[in-house]
Amino acid sequence: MALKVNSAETRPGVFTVSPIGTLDANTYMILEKTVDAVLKQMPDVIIFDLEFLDYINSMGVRVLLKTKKELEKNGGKIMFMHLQPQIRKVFDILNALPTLQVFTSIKELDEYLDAMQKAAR
Amino acid sequence: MTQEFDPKKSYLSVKTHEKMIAYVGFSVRFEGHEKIKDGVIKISSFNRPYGGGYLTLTFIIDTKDNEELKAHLNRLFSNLTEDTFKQHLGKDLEKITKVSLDSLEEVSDWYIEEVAVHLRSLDERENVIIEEKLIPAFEATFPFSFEPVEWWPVDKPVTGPTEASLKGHISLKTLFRKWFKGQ
Repeated sequence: MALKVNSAETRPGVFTVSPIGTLDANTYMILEKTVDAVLKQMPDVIIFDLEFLDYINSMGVRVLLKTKKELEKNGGKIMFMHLQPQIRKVFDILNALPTLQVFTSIKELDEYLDAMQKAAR
Repeated sequence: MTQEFDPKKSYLSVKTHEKMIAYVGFSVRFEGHEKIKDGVIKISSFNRPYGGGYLTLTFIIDTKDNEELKAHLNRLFSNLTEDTFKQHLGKDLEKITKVSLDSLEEVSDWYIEEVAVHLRSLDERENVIIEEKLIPAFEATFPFSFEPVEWWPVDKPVTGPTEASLKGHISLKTLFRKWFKGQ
């Protein structure tokens, strides 16, 4: 199955990246390309919405780790939304992305981002 | 009153003391398997307050329901012993511990194995130990090819001046007194 990746700036400095399909050795470059384009815009936050991601392999994990590394260099943050149970299981057991912030809904995420913006003022 | 022991909770509480320092991609060549399999290793470290510490390497290899491949990897990691590292780490090596994470959580798509290498001395030499000793040891033993290690950005601790550095420091007030009162 192929991978489609949508990305959008949902608030100033906040980008949402939504991979749809299967993230594996044949498709990880598609996500990498989108993320690289977003990183060039020096985002404060990248949110990965994984609601429609069916499968992730180690190449996909590498893309997420690389994104977190690049973001942290510039003081940015990585966040996740709608983690599928099978993917969440792996993240839990690995604690693969330290200080991982996971949100179950857009409302929860919006509240967090509002609080963050208030604190920054 | 009895308390239930939850191995997963216990494992995760141990993990909170470890700090992720790097990750590295690698590929695995298997005879009898057409494709090369990819993997990634999460590398964490723990420094003991009284010296030494350990490095934890969490191997994640794509297997996607291939039980034969999982069994093969299981055999490979079973053969991993302290002798594998002795040649590379010498007297610094204390022991190794292995945890198959499959026993804590069933993850069908991946094979996950954790190897902790306990060392008598760590002293911020993690990069030398990993790049020049541990990875060559794995390359010599396993059919693995590693990519360059990706080091995690280091959080620079914000610390105030030390007491020693403040000794002999002349405050502005004292300096003015010296100038105007001739002290």
